[in-house]
Amino acid sequence: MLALPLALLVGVTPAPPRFDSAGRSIGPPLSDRTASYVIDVRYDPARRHVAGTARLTWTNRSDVPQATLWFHAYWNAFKSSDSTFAREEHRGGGVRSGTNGYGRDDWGWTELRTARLPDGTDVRPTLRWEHPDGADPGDQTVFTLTLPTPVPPHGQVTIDLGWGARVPKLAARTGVLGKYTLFGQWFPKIGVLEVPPQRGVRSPTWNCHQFHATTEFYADFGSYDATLTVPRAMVVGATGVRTGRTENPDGSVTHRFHQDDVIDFAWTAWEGAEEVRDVFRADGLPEVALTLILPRDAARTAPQVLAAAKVTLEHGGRHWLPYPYPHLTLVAPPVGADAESGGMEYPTFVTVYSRIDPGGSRDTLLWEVAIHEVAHSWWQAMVASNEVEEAWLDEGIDTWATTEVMNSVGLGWDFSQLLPRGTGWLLGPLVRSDVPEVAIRPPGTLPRFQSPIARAGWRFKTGSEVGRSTYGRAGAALATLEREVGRETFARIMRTYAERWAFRHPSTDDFLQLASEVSGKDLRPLGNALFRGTSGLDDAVAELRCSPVAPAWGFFDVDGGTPTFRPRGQSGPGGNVRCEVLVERRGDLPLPLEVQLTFADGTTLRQMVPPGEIWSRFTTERPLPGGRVTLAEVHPGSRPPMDTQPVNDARSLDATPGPALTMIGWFLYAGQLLAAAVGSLL
Amino acid sequence: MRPLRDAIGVGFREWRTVAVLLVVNWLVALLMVAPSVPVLSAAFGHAPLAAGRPLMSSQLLLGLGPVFAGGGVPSVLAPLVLLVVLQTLVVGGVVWRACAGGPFRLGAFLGQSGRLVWRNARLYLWSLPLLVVALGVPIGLAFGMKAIGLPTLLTLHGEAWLFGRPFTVASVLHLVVLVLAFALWRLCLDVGRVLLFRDDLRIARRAAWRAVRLVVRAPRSVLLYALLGALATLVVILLVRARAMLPEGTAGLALLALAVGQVVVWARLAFQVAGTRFAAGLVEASGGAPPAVEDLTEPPGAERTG
Repeated sequence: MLALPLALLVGVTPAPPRFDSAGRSIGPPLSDRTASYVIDVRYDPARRHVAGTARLTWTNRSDVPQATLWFHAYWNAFKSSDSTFAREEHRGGGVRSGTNGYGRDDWGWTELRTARLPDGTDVRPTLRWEHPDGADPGDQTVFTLTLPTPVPPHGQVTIDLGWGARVPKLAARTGVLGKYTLFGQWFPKIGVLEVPPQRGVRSPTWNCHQFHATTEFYADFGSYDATLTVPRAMVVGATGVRTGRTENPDGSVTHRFHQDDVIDFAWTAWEGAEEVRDVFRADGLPEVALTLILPRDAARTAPQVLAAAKVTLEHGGRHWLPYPYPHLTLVAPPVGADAESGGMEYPTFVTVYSRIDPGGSRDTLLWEVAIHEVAHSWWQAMVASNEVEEAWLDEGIDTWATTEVMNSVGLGWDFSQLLPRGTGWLLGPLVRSDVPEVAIRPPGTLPRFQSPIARAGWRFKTGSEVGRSTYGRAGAALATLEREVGRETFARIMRTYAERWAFRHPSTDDFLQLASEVSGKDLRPLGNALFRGTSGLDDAVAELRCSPVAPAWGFFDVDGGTPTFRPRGQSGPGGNVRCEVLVERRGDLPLPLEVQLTFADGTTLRQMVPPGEIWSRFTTERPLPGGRVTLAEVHPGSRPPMDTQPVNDARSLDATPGPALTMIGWFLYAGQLLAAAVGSLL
Repeated sequence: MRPLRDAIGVGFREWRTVAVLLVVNWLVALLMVAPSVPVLSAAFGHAPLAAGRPLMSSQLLLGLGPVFAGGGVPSVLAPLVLLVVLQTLVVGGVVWRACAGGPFRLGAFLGQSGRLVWRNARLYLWSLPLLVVALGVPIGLAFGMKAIGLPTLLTLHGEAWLFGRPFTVASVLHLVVLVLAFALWRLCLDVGRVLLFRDDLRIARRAAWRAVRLVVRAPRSVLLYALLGALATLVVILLVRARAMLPEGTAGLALLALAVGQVVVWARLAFQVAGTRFAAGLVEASGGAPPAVEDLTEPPGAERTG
């Protein structure tokens, strides 16, 4: 009621909302709402137990009747060391620490108890554990239910699911730690029936993977209406808009949330947390209510996290697509839960970081994580790519998006902000810096990679490779495309991509197809090399040397007579200088390679390295003194973001002892301090 | 406080002894850095894109991954092993300088070092059980404090360093206990070394035991010794901070920073000598006999110096 007058007061004219105050869409649905849930759940934190029912309404979008429905039971990843998740983690493949440190009481599980059709038929006995990704027969994270009557093409089925679960100790974005519980991937969630031409499938195919240690999630859009009953002392935040709160005689409170057109439902119940509310308002963009839930002693964090969220909502709204949902909940977990559950994205619900003592008025750690997670509201929550099979489509694009937002507000990394309170005055000068966001996640260290970027998460060689490939390397690959088409065109590509693929499920091919279409340039060959190949890039000036040209010596014809010997001589002043520049291509990424030579007289010469050559030598011979090549550089004026070692892109004739001495000096000093410290123990 | 002042005075007056320790320190540090020098020189020696950049930049520190991809990472373990050997060697000379005074002669320093090296090595091994006992107290205390919900730096969740507040009243008090326990052990070790030298003890175990008894009977000396360590840490911290404030980017600035860095290390090593001198003072105050060994500072037949 107050929103409009307030907006008028501060001179902001928001865009009309896309959802009402109860989270229901105004006008036509934004998505096809394939899978919708009405959930009713009770959480008993003392027993770490959840009991719930869910009415699932699922639409068969295909032309083929579907008798078997696929579901996730992801909390069974934390059931035993037999799960795919635990096994992969044990092999060192996990992104977060997960179950590796579990004790006896830490394991959790989920159990489907009933699955009734409207006519009362219980299809629970048809439950079968499935292992679509092979191996690990003990895994129970995917199951199927078989219906007595198939769901007809474009028909609907409603199933009442009843389940119970033990909440696992906090691991991989879900679970309980002390008085804090994060519910992610926590209910029996139906898989995605992919229908041609969706993501290149040729026939209707269920996409429902086991819970892997290195993957995230994939789901269809729908409406979620959730009723959550918890002890009164618990602060609750969830996907969507809070539509009700009822205090019960038994001391519990029932919270109700609703949201249309989202792909998932996550929530937190946290005793002792602080709740901070705010509103995002900007000209021409829909208003968004913000709720931040965070530890009480980290309340000083709130203004920064909320400011970062607002900056992202405004940037995304103006450059990609207006954020349509009326609400956004941010949860900053308590200390001890950040690594496992901080920095995670769910629709209209993200987890961020908080700090008891922020490192200044713009703490980059807080801002970066908040910006990154809120930007996921576009790159995955709305443009709902398959995080399991093509993680780069959300993490890579979001890495690019994070850099865009941070650059727009002039935010870089000052490592002194990361120091614990009380040590800044001492160590601050040691690590004070202003490093751009793009340098924090470099594409890699070698110009050849182990795996393509566009690969299913569990098929990377190591867990850390998943992270490097789908974040930094993918972000650099996108920036490489941007370099090819120009900043303005690329901005148009991303806006069009968001507009066209919001509330749908794009693939790598869809992205490259759209990018080619918008730019008018076939970006698929380069895109395929970047995302489907293992080629990297390290173009380097390997050598630059100049020497005076000595007069030729040996036998020479003089006046057509007998050859006469001319002895070796010295080149005098005013002679020529010959300079040689060796350029090496240490990666196979097929980008054009231009070389620029700068001469002492200020003139420049540009030449191309012939395609296919992995090295090229350029020789110049010009009069002294202006003919000396003082600087040779590759990619002049525009360094390729995929270049793994940008420093060797240029080489000067004159020595630059400063950087090497700075590094060696620091190493020596560090070595001396270490030796002195160890010496005090001897 | 007088023993403290005397010890610090000796530590900073014994500049030749500190110089020897600095040479040892340099040897170890150079060995650490040696594998990196050719790699860094090759990568940055003609690199205009890195020129003028500070260490904390994407060109230098954050660009090291590709530079070291082919090897050249500084080595740590082997140089530290060398440090153990060299430090055990020169400690005999340091004790001699702390106890005997007189003019410094490198030959005499090395002679005393060589004479005492095996005994000092054995003494160190005998002191390790005491270290276990001494550190057992603060470690046990840390777990006890954790059980009642009080944080200590030893039991803190790793995330607390980034997201929480590691330094609280409880954790700092626990840190004080930890420092006192360490000071107790370190003082015992220094006193044992002094006893080995002054009484020319051949059995290191006996020296270790006598040192423990002497130190335990003088608890005030443990406090003073801990104060000496805290003072050393404070001075070093202030110098480290001053060093860190220097600008970076050129060869001249890098050399200047290296020179200032030597002041930092020098101060630390001077306090190390001061610590030994403090232990010698404690032994002298307890009525310990004068050095029973030949004083190598003077030629045979000359008058012994005190």
